Amino acid sequence: MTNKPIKIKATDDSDRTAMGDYIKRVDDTNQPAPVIRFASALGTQKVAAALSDRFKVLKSLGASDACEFYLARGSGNEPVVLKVLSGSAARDFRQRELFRLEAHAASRLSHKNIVKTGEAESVNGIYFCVAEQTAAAQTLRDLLSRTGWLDLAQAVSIINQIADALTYAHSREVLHLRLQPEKILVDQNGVVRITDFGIDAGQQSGWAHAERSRRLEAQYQSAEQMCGASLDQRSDLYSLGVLLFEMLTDRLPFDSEDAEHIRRRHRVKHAPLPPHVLSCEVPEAVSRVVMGLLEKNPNKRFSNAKVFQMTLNRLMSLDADAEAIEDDVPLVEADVLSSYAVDVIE
Amino acid sequence: MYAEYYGLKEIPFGLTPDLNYIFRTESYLEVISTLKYGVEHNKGLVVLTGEVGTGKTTTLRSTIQQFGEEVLPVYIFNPFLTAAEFFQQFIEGLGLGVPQAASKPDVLATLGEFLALRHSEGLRTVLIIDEAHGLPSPVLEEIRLLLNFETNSEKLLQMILCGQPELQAILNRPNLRQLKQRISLRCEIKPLSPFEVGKYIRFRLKTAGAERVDLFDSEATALIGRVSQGIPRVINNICDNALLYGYSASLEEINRDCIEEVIESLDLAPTDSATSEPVDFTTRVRSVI
Repeated sequence: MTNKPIKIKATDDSDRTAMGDYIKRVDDTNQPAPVIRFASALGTQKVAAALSDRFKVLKSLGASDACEFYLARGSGNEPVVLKVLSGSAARDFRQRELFRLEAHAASRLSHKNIVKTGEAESVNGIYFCVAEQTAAAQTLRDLLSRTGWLDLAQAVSIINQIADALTYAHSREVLHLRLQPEKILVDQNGVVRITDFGIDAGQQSGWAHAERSRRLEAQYQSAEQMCGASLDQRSDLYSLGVLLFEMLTDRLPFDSEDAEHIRRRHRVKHAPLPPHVLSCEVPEAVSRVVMGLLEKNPNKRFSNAKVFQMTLNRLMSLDADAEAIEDDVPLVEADVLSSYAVDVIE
Repeated sequence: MYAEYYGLKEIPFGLTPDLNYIFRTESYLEVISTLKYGVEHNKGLVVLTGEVGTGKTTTLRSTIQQFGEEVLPVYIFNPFLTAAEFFQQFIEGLGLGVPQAASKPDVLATLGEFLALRHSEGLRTVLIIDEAHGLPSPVLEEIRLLLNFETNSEKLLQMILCGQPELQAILNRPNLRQLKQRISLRCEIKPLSPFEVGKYIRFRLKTAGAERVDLFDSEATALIGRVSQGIPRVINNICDNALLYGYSASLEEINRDCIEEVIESLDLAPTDSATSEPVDFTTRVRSVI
């Protein structure tokens, strides 16, 4: 079988090829997997040869950032996904160290909404970790791209599962810092699994936090990620807010094809337009909860995923208006549209 | 015809204003905020301009819908009136029973009492004139005089003039400088940015009940944005025709070739502004993409 090569244009573009994509293709045996060829790619043959004592490498699944992904079978014939540090990255000490830290952090997690990953290993000069092969699923990016905004119940179901995973990971001192729709898998039953965890929350990992943040698309970055400040779980909550915003509106709080433009708007604009202003299908109370995640100042955001989740679910079960949850929602301007009007006129 | 083929419950790209299909951009929200602010704070005269097809009328109707019960709007959409016809329409819109044979001073007196009464009860009255770039000078002069209904501190009648960009030039005429001085707020509906065009198309497809909103591929969307220059009415026209074309050609997705066909059939190919000659369309479009 001859696979058609795919050109990788630039780092930023390859950033968009997410880890989630390769997992989706696993069960799609009729489709030849793309062979990613770029200067530093290791390639299937080299990886297969280097790891032949432990794995039977079946095919390449694609590439993302500095890694290549392969479908393989382990010694017990069980299907696995190999995440392999690509050639040029493997020669860079910082990239190797980041790879090790990420795998180490991810290996500490075992949760139904998180894709399992093992510790980093090195065999015959190949740096890799083993990830579980998941059931066929699509990324949230694919889902949104095809269907546009989701109905409230579906969006809440997805965000609840992501929040469950974050609550668990944060309790184990692991941050994600790269939450975007490409990292979220949704299967046919609506079960969500997050890929590409994570990094230790400790501040000694600051450089790794910054590196992961750099690889996150600007639209999903919190203000503190943009300005290189120290990060904690609240940065993940900001990205969570962007995900919910996007699921409810098919729009983004700050959006442009130009990342610098987004950064500028982050600095200049007081707040993004709330979801209920952009879409009349979003209840104002839910909109306020979303805005509680999107606060620029982390101190004004929900303090953790659990509090956010409890607030949202209480709201959903009450089906009540904003006053019912007023005490739980962080300080958000009461009438954003009015203040917006004043901003505009001034 | 194509709706069923593409899984749509209704036609997504109709050319008549439909408030269900309002795509809320920052520009739209700024305009709505400005118009409501002007009326709610008794600012007198507000001017709204926008290119043909940007959604001025839809925005006005949306604004009217958002006014509370304390606001009585009178909407005049045909500007080609004599001063007498204008007054007649306005008075009828307010529901005032003024005999047709009444003299102008009598009409103005009745109007003044009506506006003062409403104002004293905390109610507001708004005159909204669409297509105001077509208003003849005598009517513009009457409008200026209507703005003289005021208390010591507030206007009794709020007014929104809405028209194409040439309305600004008209208001700059020396003989209309008094009217121009009374403009308290101006706002403009801008065309969609290239980035917003794709979102707009997806929004309308979803609102029309589409299960797939990615019917137009990225190259097709970019081309639509380029040719339409972000004007929603042109986008609607292209998309409507493209879906019809796609249906007849059994296309599952609308691609760039399909859009090129539609643009040619609608004679929308851009011309070179310097020579007014049609440009090599294909080359230009591809260079843009």
